[in-house]
Amino acid sequence: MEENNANVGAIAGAPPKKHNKFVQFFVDRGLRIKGWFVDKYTAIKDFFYVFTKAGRAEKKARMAEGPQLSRGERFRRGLKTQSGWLFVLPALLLMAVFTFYPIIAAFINSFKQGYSDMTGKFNGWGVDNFVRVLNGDTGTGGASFVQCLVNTLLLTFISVPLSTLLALLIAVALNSIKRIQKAYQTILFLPYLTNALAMGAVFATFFKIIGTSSNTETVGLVNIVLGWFGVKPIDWVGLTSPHWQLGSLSIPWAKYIVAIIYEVWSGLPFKILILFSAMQSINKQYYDAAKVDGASRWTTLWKITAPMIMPQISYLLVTGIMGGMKQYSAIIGLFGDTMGQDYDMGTMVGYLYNYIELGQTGYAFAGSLILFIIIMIITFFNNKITKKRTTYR
Amino acid sequence: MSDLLLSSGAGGWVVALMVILVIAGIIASIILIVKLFRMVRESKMPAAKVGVWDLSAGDSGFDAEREKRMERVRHITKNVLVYLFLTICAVLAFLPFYWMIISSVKTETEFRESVPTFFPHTFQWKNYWMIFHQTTSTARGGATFQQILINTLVVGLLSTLLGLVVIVITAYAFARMDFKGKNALFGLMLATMMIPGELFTISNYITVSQLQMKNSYTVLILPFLVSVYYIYLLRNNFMQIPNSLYQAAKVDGLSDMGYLLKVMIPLTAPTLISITLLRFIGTWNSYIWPRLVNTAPWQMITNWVTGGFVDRLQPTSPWGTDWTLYGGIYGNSMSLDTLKMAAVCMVSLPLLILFIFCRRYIMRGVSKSGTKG
Repeated sequence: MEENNANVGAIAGAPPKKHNKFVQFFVDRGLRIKGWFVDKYTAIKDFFYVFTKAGRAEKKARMAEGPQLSRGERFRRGLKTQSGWLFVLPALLLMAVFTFYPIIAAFINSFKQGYSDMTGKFNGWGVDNFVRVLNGDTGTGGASFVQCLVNTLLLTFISVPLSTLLALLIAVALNSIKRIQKAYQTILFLPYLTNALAMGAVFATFFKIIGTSSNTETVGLVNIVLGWFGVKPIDWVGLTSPHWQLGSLSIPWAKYIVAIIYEVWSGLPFKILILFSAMQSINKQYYDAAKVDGASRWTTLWKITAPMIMPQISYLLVTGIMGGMKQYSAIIGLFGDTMGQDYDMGTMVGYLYNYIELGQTGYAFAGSLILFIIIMIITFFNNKITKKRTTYR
Repeated sequence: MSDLLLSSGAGGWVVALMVILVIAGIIASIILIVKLFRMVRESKMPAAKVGVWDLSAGDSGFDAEREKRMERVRHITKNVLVYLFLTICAVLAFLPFYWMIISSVKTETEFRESVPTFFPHTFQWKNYWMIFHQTTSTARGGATFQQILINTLVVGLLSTLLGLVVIVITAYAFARMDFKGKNALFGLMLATMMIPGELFTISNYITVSQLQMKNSYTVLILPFLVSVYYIYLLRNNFMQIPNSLYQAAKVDGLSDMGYLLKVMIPLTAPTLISITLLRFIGTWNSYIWPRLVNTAPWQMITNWVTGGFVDRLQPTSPWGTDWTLYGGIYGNSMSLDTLKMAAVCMVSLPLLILFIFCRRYIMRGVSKSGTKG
């Protein structure tokens, strides 16, 4: 301990040597990094101090000073002070089985080649699962990983900004009215409490063409409305749905539009609620001050309201993107069990479940780890961006 | 639009109501437009002299009256636009619900008409009768609605109540008690929130299949009892309760458990109600886990909805196998959209009713989770 302190003192107390700016920059960085290691070293040493000979002796001396307790009494006291463990025990046990163990298992099992979940047998370790998942070479007729990844990313990065922008517009409108504000708020919040599968099925009926190609019975509500503007009926969700083909990748744009409309509809209520309550909690003094200064309504919106609710907007973007990466049930509700035709509307999570049901858990594990890494990368960038933006409060 | 209205075949009173609404809307808009025009015209007329200055004189003069009127015109225009925008949004938000409800009572023939009706010609309540007495497709094992409803209610209640107990005692320990490694454990728990839940699902699926727990209620309840987020939320709530209350209770000889039951739970009741509701809704909406681990008789209500419904009673029903709504013209395997909409209503309407009655708690729970972040 002491020699360590002396060491730190030597760094701090050393006469600062003059360098030129360029060298000084690196010297500063170097000293800071060294200090970080010294700190960690000291902390670790402090922690293990009680296990050293000197530490044990010190503890013994301290025990001798205090009241002498029998072994039973000491145990009883320990039980009393540590009884918090009893309270967290149920949660801890459940989490150990259903949360902590699965994380470790996922990391280990994804490197087992040809893993069978029934027998637990596998033939050797390696990154075979990852290679096969990324190449789409799983040989089981299941979903294609690249297709699922592209679908998920495209859907998320189109629908989340779109619905946030729309929510912002609605929240501003809602904030500027006085009469029957509550009624509008309630109706707009209704879609929050819905079952994605059920409402997905309802949305599918808006777009569905029923009947044969020669004799359509109904072309669906959306096609009828588009027909007023002279647009020919489009098979939005069916087998002949239009798509672009990019190599082995297919971009079913009609289905994308349907999915994006559903996601905007279902994502709006939460976003409106958050933005609206944030706007309501802005101090009215700012607006009064702006009025005195003769700011226009538009200026007030962009110079006061927008910066004040920036934390909420970035929060919504972050949670929206996180949720979007995990979308699944809405796709099933809209396009059925196979996620479109031959999984052309598959999502990342849909990919995992597809391979669990096919009994190929090795690929599912590998896919889930890749999903985890992607989410971590997005979180990292989100943190970088939001840290810059959320300094207003 | 007019052909839509005319062919909608709505009952007499509905037509009357719609006509009245449309006329009222037209009259209101005419009044508003006239008002606006008058104001604009007035604002162009020379204003009276104010004091010694003639404010209307010259191009550079500042016309207070006119500015005021223009301001009012602008205000009304803005309001009309805002209300119009909000009304369109509200209609679009509500349209799927309306469509779901009217489709569920239409006949299949009416549903497939090339021009859809916005109000059913005939109410066919037998659609509901049909889905209640039908077992889901035999490919998934087959289950009746009664069985599914019992499953969902039992699992929902048990998992909500047990989960609440676990959450409350864990949150209490983290908020009020002192034990070695408390902060490390809490940090570890919070860290698991970063990891997508799908990562757990795969391993959990293997665990429960190896433990032979498939096809039971236990497997639907156990893995989701602990919710780290709710523990975190409740712990923060508990920590807001002043410490002096705890000391007072201790002086009065209340144990830790007694303090939790008699002081903390009543004080945090709103949060607890929010958590209960959100958890129950979560169980009601669960889809993938029941589908993975259980076969049809043990599945939940959302799994029931995704199975197709056909125009024929299944052999297991007491009403026999031959009974159909449309005389069998839709065949034995074609899934009918009207029947599906009836099933969708059965899943969605309880949620809507819950929302209408408990709006305050649900909104509070949601907005609370929103302001974190």
